[in-house]
Amino acid sequence: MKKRLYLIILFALLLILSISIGVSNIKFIDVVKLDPDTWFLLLTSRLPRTIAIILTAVGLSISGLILQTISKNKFISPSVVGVTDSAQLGILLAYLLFGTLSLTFKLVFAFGFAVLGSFVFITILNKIKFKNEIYVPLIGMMFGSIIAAIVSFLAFQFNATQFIDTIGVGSFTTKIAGNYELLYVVIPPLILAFIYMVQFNIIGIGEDFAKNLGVNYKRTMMMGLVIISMVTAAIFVVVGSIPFIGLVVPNLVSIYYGDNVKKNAIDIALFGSVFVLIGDILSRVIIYPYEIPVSLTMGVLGSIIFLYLIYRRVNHAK
Amino acid sequence: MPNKFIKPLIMVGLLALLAVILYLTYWLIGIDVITMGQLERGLSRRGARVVAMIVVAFTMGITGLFFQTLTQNRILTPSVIGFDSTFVLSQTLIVFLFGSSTVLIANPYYNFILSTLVMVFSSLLLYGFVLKKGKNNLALLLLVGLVFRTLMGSLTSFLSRIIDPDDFLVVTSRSMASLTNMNTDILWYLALPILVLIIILMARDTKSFDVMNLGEDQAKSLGVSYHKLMNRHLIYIAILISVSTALVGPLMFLGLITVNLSREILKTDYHKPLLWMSSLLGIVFLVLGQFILTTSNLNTSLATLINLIGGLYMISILVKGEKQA
Repeated sequence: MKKRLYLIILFALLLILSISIGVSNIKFIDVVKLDPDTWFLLLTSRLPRTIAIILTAVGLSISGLILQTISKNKFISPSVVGVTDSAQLGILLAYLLFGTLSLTFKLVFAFGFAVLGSFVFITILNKIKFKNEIYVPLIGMMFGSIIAAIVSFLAFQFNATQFIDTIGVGSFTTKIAGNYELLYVVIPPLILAFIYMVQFNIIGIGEDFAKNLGVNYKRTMMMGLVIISMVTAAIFVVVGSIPFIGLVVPNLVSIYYGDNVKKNAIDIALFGSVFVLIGDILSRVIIYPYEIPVSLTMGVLGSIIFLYLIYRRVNHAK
Repeated sequence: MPNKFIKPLIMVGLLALLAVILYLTYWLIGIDVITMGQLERGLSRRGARVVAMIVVAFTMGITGLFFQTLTQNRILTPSVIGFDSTFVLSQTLIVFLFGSSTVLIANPYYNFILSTLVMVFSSLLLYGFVLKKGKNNLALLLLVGLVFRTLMGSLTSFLSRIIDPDDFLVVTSRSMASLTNMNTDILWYLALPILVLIIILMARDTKSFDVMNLGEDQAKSLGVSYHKLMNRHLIYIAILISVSTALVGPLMFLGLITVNLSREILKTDYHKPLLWMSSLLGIVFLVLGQFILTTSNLNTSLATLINLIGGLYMISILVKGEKQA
């Protein structure tokens, strides 16, 4: 519990830091004095950005946790196994069929294809009886690269490569009032995720075991996949792809807290937020007043941490 | 080589030859008068591309096969676990550190040599470490590759944002080759000699590799200095993948398809026939694929097509293979 307290304090500090950093200064006195300019800035730019960061961080880490729990493998996340690529395929198809679309419409397509993609992945996974630790991420990567190949094939064929390049670069720079609100759709699935965390843990152990404990395997699996797809698709459409969060955060937390998923979920959400807040603050500070896309900062940070995790594992395996 | 291997080898060899001839000559059809100049121009460009593709086919075959023996598995190749991402990453890092206008980037030779050095060093450090200490823990190898691939993606997209668009074009065309944008500058005086040298060096060890198929302990007791061979061949593989990636860019699945297909066709574990078979199959895939793509109106890159077919093929292998076991 003490650890969680530290995490909460750190989170609060970073939250304040994230709100106060920016090109124009926000003075604390102005906030208290209810200065209209300051509050305008706060409400249209700083708060939306911070909210977007937290929703993204919580969404990606929790959906990573669910996927890792239901497929019982620590080395995958929605972006590794092709759910993100499927969402991208959905957006591309929508663009090719109907032209330029509103964000909401894009989200519907991205969601539909993400659900389809995650189902295909789980189906392939279930076809393989003997699940080796390595096969699961390998199959995911292969499935992802197939979808990516289809995307780039279609994009080449219909001259839409530029369109593909513009979607999917993760950045919080443009997240001001007016174009981040769609991100709120991740909240209901996330609440559902917290409620059903124990069931996900149970179906991860196996279909027979789940039946013994009275958990409806198919329905829970379906719900898990839909939650993952919804969250992943919404974040991909609104923010873009941000690497490593879904992969690294649950792993790091389970090193220090063990594998009690129900207890961990909150810590994972907190830790994920701290992680992305640090990443975003770094991207804003390094070449101030300009910004580095957060996907780069997270990519570098995440890969260093992940290589350390691998190193740790190798040394333990001796 | 036993007789039973000769027939399929000749068949595939003929197919490869046919593909090469088709690719070199198809554009002549329909031209009424062929002048010497036209012929020379057309052939020299296509000739260089065909030689580059043959080089790539050989490197992918030999590295894939030897790596599978080194790690004792049938489903990974250096490209799948991210050796080629490591090369692209080291190229990107050099641009990052030295800027895009230095001689190191502009001169293809320096660029290649420097990137290869970084690549060999880092792959020895990372993969050597994991292979030795992790007792062939393939999951970890795969993850290192995954990390590199993601990092490479982030760095490249960042690079494209901060540097001058013109510079970026120069950098990508110099250092990030693809099958449609081959980097043939280094072919004749760098890539080809290195390939021949290393393949000769590697081919000397095929017999030891046949023994290594029996497992580490057996091989050691039969007199193979396992770890020495492993380190040496990791370096060879790193250099060869550098050559291939510098020429045509990353090709994730080619080695995997050709090596596994050869195993299926020849049904053997001897390295020598498998080596020839997978190299020839690689030539067929690349040259014939390129020929089909250029003659049909498919507006896509061969690498995409190979990824698509290769991914489907691999998933089918995994699903099928587990049922048999």
